[in-house]
Amino acid sequence: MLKPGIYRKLVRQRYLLAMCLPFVAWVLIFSYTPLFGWIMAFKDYKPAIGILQSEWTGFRFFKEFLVDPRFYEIVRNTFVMGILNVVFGTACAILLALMLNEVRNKFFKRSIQTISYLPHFVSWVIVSNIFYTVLSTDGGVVNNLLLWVGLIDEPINWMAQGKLFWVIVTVGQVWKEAGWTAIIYFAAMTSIDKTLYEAGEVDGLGRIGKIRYITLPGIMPTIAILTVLNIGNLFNASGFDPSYLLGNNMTLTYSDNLAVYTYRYGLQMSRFSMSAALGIFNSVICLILLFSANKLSGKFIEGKAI
Amino acid sequence: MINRIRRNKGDRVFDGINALLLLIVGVVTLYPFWNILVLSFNNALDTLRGGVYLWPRSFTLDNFKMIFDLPQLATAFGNSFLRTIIGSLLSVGSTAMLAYVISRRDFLFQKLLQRLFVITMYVSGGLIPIYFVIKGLGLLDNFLVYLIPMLLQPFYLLIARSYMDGLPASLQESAQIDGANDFIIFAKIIFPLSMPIIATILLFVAVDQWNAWFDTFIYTANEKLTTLQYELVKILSQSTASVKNDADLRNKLAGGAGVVSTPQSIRMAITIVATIPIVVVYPFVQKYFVHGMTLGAVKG
Amino acid sequence: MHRGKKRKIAGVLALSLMTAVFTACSNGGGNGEAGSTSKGANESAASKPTHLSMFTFTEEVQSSLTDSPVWKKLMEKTNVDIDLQTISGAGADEKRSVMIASGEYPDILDRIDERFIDAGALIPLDDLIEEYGPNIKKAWGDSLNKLRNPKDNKIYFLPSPKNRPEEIVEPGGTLLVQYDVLEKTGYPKLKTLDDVYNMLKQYTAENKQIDGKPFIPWGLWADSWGYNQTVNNPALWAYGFTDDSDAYVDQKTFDVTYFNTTDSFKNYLKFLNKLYKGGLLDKNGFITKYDEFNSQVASGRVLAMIYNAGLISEDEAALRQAGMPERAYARFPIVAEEGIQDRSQVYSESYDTGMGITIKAKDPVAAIKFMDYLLSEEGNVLLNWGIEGVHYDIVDGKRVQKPEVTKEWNSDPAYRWQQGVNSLTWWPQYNGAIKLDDGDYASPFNTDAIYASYDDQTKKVLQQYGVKYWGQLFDTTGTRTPYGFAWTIPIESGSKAELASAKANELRHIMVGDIVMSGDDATFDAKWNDFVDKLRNESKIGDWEKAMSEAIQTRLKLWGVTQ
Repeated sequence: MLKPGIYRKLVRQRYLLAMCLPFVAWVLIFSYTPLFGWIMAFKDYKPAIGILQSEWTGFRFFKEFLVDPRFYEIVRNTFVMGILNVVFGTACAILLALMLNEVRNKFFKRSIQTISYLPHFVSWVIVSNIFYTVLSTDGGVVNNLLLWVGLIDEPINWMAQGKLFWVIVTVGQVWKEAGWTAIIYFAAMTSIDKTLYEAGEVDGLGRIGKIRYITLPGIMPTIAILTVLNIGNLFNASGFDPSYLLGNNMTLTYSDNLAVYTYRYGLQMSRFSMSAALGIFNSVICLILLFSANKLSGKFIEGKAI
Repeated sequence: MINRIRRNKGDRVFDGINALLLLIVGVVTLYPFWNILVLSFNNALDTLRGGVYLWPRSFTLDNFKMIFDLPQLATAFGNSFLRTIIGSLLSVGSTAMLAYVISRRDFLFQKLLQRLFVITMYVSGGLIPIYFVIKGLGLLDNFLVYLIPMLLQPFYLLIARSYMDGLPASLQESAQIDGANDFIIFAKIIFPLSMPIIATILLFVAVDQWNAWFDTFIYTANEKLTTLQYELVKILSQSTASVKNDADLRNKLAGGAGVVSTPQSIRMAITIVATIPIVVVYPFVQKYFVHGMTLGAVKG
Repeated sequence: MHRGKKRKIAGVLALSLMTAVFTACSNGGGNGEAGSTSKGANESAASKPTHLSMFTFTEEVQSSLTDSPVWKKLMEKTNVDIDLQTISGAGADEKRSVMIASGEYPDILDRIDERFIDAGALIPLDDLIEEYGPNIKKAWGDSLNKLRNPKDNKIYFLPSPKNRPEEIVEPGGTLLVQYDVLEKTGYPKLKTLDDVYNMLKQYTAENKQIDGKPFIPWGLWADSWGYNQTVNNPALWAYGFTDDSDAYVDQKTFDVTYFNTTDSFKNYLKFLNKLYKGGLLDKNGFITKYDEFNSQVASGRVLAMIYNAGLISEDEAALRQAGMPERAYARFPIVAEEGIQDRSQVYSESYDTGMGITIKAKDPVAAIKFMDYLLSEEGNVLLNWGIEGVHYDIVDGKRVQKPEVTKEWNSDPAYRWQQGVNSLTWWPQYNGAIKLDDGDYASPFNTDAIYASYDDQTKKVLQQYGVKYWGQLFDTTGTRTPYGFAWTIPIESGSKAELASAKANELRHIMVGDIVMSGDDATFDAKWNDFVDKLRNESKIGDWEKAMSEAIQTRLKLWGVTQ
């Protein structure tokens, strides 16, 4: 049935086929088989009687979320924080990698690199504490500094300003992850052919010129692929911990995102069906974003990112 | 190399500003971490009162005491160590091999294969169905549960692929002409050339393995399979729970007699324990970034 | 053309794999390791200990427990061999979900609630208790009825019994005032919220700062679970209610109103508003986090609050260690105005968690016998006092903890677990300052122990108020509610009522801080009305009120209360 050309190609690529088949089996078992759990979203799943026996509910759980008065707010927060995180997270990581790449002193370079990723290991509980301490109205560094400079007359309660929360959470994300993500870009830079720099030198490129015409294009495929993946992840990017731990009563309307909502109305209440419905909602949006971003990426780099 | 080139004035200004900015980054990222280190060695009750910044005000090892008092410390550490070593080697080998297959645009199923994995980043069946799969495969209470489900992560797969994309095609072509099969090309040419990205992924996967505790909690009931990170999480939740629990509140002596450490301080100590191994291992990974691969040399 | 085919092939492959997994699933059940070992145990001689697996849904258990002398003695006495597993904080919900969904239960589940009953995980204990539980029957008596499940009238789990009078040694949630404030204001008699307000005004007029930082006259942290601890519950105490948490229950009709919509609650917020306007309330109180609040208390800045005293024990220890014993706290009953009776420490007998036997238990008889031993006098003394001669002595016919044990206990929190003494305080046996049938205390945690742990400063203040320990200031004879505590009455999980309660909780976190920090009465009232309106119309709190009212009626019937 297969065209003879394809058959011949298959035989020729038998090694490639053999190299990937075990992993195909793996991904089907560990990632695709569990998707049968999605049925739960359309049923009122009661653990005691099992998935198959539970009563069908259709789209009831989807509807519950869609008609929730806070629906708009939750989706808005999830998107805004996701976008801020992806944009600034990516930009800062690339910038940091580029800056490190330009350092000539080996010791300095290595030290800063090691130091910059340390926050990755600090849990959000601690990050949240740090923010509350630094931004505190009695004796927080930021307020003290601003008071000293004379920019403000009395301490500002940064953590109580709803909209500021988006800025704060983004700063937190960048602080925590930029150094860690930069490692990937840093590694990508090593694949750039050194002779290109020499040629650039001959052509009279300065430092900035070399970054712009050699380093950046050299890591462009990595940037493209990470960006596409991150855009797909926009809806997840804000995450549970930052919103839940950094947020407070005064910022709830700006900090609650889909992850927090799912936790509150799904897991915490043992409503498996609601969790599943919210999970599907989330997945659908992610995939739409992912493939749109991928299509777009075709315009910027040769071939699409994925 | 770059540092041989004579530096002009513009260069020096550039370097100066660059160094200054990086120094700021360094301070902003190091100080909080330093503070965590300081607090982990500071008396917990003293820490509660605040105001400890650069140096422990009242030095103690008490916050680490609970960790090193663990009866299963050796087992837990052994398992964590094993899963990190075996797990990350397995992962990185698999990731590299599959990434190579995906990087071969001429492969018949390239696109399908790639998307099959990418999609899994965004969809999940949820905890319960996954549990059934793990159970069905007989992986409950089995050391393999630390290795197999974490074998591949699409994110690393694509990073590795994009690195391989950047390698000169001419190398592969000449090997193909010499009659090498695809596996040989991968093992002998692509893998060694991809060392920088492989080292990076190894680091990432190792961190994932070292810090994983949820699988221990959900999939194992056997004490012999416990991991360090899980024991640490347990210590932390013990200390928080006894603070919050009404039943325990009644049993608390007035004035807090018998307080040795607090959840806050234990958390600091745990952060240190979780980070130190990575900081120790990192320079070995870093080696690959600095040297990189001089492709010209390979080609020549 | 061939694209579609490829997809089909992949589909078939996935499907066949899925079937493979499912079949493996259904075959796998019987081959578990636990099954084979216990089978072996059953077949061998009766003297060999029965293996029981137990999972406890609390994070507190330290792993040294199972190596402790008391634990070993317990195993020996009951002839069982218990394999004890515990949850880990962050994953409790997940563990419960997986356990229920997979139906893989240990023999015994501990510290679990009605969700396991709903899931059909537990077996009824009625017959087992009848036949093998003489000690259980003796200790519980009629109170056993209070354990019955409203749906089928059966008993599914056993908690720690509270059917005997317990002396209040240390009060829980109540008014806390710094010793220094009391001393400088001449040890005032504090009865109403206004007394507290005046005292704070007087003190702060002369004392502004401590260690360069301003005092926080009234402490508050209303974030997360702190809302209940520092806003909701204080309002309950002040208006003379017992701990019904979110419910205001009419004591005649037993109809439930959401407490945060009542006038009592509004008036309490008015008091907070008064503090705010008087500059006595921490302006950031509604966004303060737990760690931050502890640090405020531990540095001596918070002058007074209504809070759970047990939650600040570490902070008080920090104050004493830092040489500021005068910044520790006195505990007083407090009411909003004259004429209200404080009932904050009135203990209502009702239960929401306990120890149960699962449908997977291979030997339920061994399990119930084990649970019965816990309530025997021997078992009760063993777990709470320890081993005679090792942990306690009998002096003049009374149990007395050995001084070296007390010393270790007071200096090392891990000691209780390493020895197994008085560590499993939630287990189904008597605990605390309750007396056993032999007329002696059930545990070493009693008034003598607490008095011995006080410092001089505390004793000095106690003397001013004419008592030996704080518990004596509290009246525990106040009327108990006939339905127990409202919060122990379960609402069906996933129901409309539960949803409404979650939404209302979200709303009060968002809105209450704003109400309290109103500049004038008109704004206050407008915001309050908006709040109540939203609770009714957006959160649909009526659904919850209706379900709670019904649940209370059911419980009254179950407990045989006639109206």
